[in-house]
Amino acid sequence: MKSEVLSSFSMPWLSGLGLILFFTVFVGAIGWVFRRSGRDVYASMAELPFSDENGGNKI
Amino acid sequence: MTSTESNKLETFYYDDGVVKKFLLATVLWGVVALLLGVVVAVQLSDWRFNFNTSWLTFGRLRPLHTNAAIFAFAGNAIFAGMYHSSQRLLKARMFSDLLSQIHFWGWQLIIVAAAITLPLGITVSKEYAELEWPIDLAITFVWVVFAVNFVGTMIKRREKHMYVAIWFYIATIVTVAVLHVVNSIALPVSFWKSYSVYAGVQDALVQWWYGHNAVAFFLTTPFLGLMYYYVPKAAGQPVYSYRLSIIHFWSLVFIYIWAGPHHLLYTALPEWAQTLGMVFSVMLIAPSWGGMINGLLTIRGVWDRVRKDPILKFFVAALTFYGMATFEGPLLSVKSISALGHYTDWIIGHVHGGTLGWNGFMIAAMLYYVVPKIWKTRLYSERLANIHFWVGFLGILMYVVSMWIAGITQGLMLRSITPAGQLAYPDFIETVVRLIPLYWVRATGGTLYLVGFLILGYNILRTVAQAPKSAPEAQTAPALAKLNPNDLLKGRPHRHLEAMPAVFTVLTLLAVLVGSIIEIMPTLMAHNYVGLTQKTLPYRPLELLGRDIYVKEGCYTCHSQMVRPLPSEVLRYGKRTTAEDSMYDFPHQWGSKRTGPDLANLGGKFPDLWHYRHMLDPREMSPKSIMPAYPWLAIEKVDFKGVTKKMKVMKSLGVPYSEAEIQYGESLARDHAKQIASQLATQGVPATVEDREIVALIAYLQRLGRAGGVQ
Repeated sequence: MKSEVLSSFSMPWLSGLGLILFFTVFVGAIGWVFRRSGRDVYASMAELPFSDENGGNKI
Repeated sequence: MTSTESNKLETFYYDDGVVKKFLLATVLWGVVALLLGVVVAVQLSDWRFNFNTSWLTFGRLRPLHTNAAIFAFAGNAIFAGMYHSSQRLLKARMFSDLLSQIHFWGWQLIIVAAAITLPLGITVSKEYAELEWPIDLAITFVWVVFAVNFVGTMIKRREKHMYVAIWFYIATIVTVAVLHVVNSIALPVSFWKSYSVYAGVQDALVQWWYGHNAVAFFLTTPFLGLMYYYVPKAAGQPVYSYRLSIIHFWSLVFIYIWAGPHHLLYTALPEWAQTLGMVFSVMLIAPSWGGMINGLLTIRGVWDRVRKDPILKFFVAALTFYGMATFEGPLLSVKSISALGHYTDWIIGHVHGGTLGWNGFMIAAMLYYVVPKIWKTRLYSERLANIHFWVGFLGILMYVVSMWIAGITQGLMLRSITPAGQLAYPDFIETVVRLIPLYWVRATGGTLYLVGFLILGYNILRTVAQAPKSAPEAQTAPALAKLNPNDLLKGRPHRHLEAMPAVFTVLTLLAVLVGSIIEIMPTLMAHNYVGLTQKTLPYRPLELLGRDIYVKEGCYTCHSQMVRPLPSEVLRYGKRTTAEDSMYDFPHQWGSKRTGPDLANLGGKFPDLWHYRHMLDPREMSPKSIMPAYPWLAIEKVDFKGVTKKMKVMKSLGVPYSEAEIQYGESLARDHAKQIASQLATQGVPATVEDREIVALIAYLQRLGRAGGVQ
C-alpha cells in the first residue's frame, strides 16, 4: 500500500516544507524565548500566581 | 499602564460558589468512576460478576467507567481548577454567573444521561466518544457556553499578561471543541441511534486522532495548566523556568495532535500515516519531560517539606507518574514494541499509570490545596491525607505492575511459534487462564486506590463541615489599560501576543489544525488512490441488524476485528485484514483490546449452533472462558421494522444498497432469520428464536471476514 500511496503522492514538496516550517518555528521560538532582554519580563510573569497574596490586592 | 484613568482601583468579587460546586462534584464522580473501575476489574477476574444481566455486563459498564473517569471525574476537576485559578490570574470574576451555572448543571446532566444510556446499550461504540448524538449536541452546547464564559472573562480581565496556565486552558477549550465536533459527526436513524459518517479505515483514523487527543487535551494540557498554577502556589515559589514553560506549551500543542495513529500500528491504516504517528509520538517525549522537569524543579529548595506536606507529596508523585507515562507512551508507539504490547493489558497498565497516577494524584493535590483555601479553614486531617497518599500509591503500583506482567506475558505467549512453525499456544484461552491471578491483583490495587479516595472524600467533607460561614472577600485591582495597536509595531511582539487572547487562540487553533489536516485529509480521500482489490458487498439486512447488537453489547471492548500482518497473527486468525473488510463499517469495529480472540475472520469458522450455545453460555463451548453469558439475546426481539430506515441512512452514507433491497429490507431480514432458525431447530433449538436478537447476531458473526458476502 505504501508504494501505491507514494506513487500517487503529487506533493513531494510538502514534506520538505513541513520540515522547514517546523524546524524554523522551533529554533525561532527557542532563540526568541532565550533572548537576553526577556529575563526580567519572564521573572515578573512567573510571579503572577502570587499577585493575590502578600498584600497589594486584598483590602 | 500608560494612561492615568486606567489606574483607577476597581473592587470586585470572585465567583467561588461555582468553584465549590465543581470541587464537590469532583469528589462525588471520583467515587463513582473508581467504583465502576473496581466492578469491571472484578468482572474480568470472574465472569460471574456480570450477573447474567444485560445492563451490568462488562461490555456496557466499561464505556461507562472510562467516560466517568475522564469526563465526570477529571472533567469536573479541571473545571474547578480552571474557574478557581483563572479568576485569580486574570483578576476578574467569571464573565457571567448564569453561564457558569449552565456550565455546571449542564455538565452534570450530561453525566447522568451517560450513566443511564450506556448501561442500556445506547452507544455509538467509538471509544471515549460512545454517547449518542442528542448527548453529543448537549456537550457541544455546554462547551460553547464554557468557551464564551472563559473568553468573556479574559476580555474583562484586569491583569494584562496572561500567565502560561491560561494558555494551556485556551488550548484545551479550542482543541476539545474541534475534536468533539469532528469525531462525533453522525447521521441519526432515530433519537437514540445514529451512524458515524466515517467508515472503516477513515473512521479509525478520525477516532484515534480524537481518542489520543482527548488524552492530550482533556487529561494533559488542562492538568499542565493546573500544575503551572498550583505547584508554585503549594511550593511557595515561582515556576523553575518560565521560558521552558513557553517552549513546553508550543511544542506540545504542535506535536501532540499528530500522534493518534500510534493506536493503529500494523493495521489497515496506510503505512505512511502509521510512521508519521510513531515519529511524532517518539518526539513527544521531549516536551512532556520538559514539562515534568519544570514542575519537579519548582520544588527546588523545599524538598524537605515533601516528607510531611501531603499536597507536595501528591504533586511530586503525580509529576513522576506523568514522566513515567510519557516515557512509556513513546516506547509503546515504536512499531516493533506495539507489535508485542498492543491489544494486551500492557496498554491498560499504561493508561492507568497516567490516569490514576498523573490525573488522580493531581486532582487529590488540588483538592487538598483549594478546598481549605476556598472554604477559609484548615484541612480537617493532614494525617488522613498522608494515609490516602500511601494507600493510593500502593494501589497504583499493584495495578500497573500486574498489568505490565499480564500484558507482556500474554503478548509473548500469543506470538510464540515452535521450531516446526506452529503456534506454541494455539488456544487463545490458554493465555487468558494465565492472567486471572494478575487480574485479581489488579482488582485489589484498584480497590486500594478507591479506599484512598474514599478517605479523601471523608477528609474533604469534614473540612467543608468545619468551615465558618464567611462572606465573599472583596478584591481590588486597577482596570486594564486599552491596548494601543501602534505598540504592536514597536518590537516586543510576544508580550502583546499574550495580551491578545483572540490572536493567541487563533494561533493555537492553527497549530492544532495544520497537523490534523495534513494527517487526516489524505486518508479521508483514500478511495481516490486505493484501488479495491476484492469485491466487497454491503451487509445484508439481518447482518446489519446483528451488527447493531454487536455495537450495543460493547463486543469491541474485548474483541478486535483487525488481523495484523504478523506471522503469529496470520497463523492464529487467518488472512490479514485489509481496508476493504471494514469499508461499510460505520463506525469501524477494529477494537483496541483483545481480552478475547480477534474476530475479523470469524465467519464460517463455527456452525450457527456453536454460536447459539456459546452466546447463551460460553463455558459450554470453552470451559475456561471468562466471557459473560448473554441469555437475554434469546429473549429480546429483533427490530425488523427498523431495518428500512437504517438501510436508507447507510445508503446516504455511501453504501450501495439498491432501492429494491431497501424496499424489501424487512422481509429479506425476516427470511434470513427464518433460514437460520429453521437450521437451528433441526439441532434442537426452539423455533421461537427466529425473531430474537441472537439470530441477527449470528448472521453478523458468520459474515465477519467474508467481505465478498456469504453464499
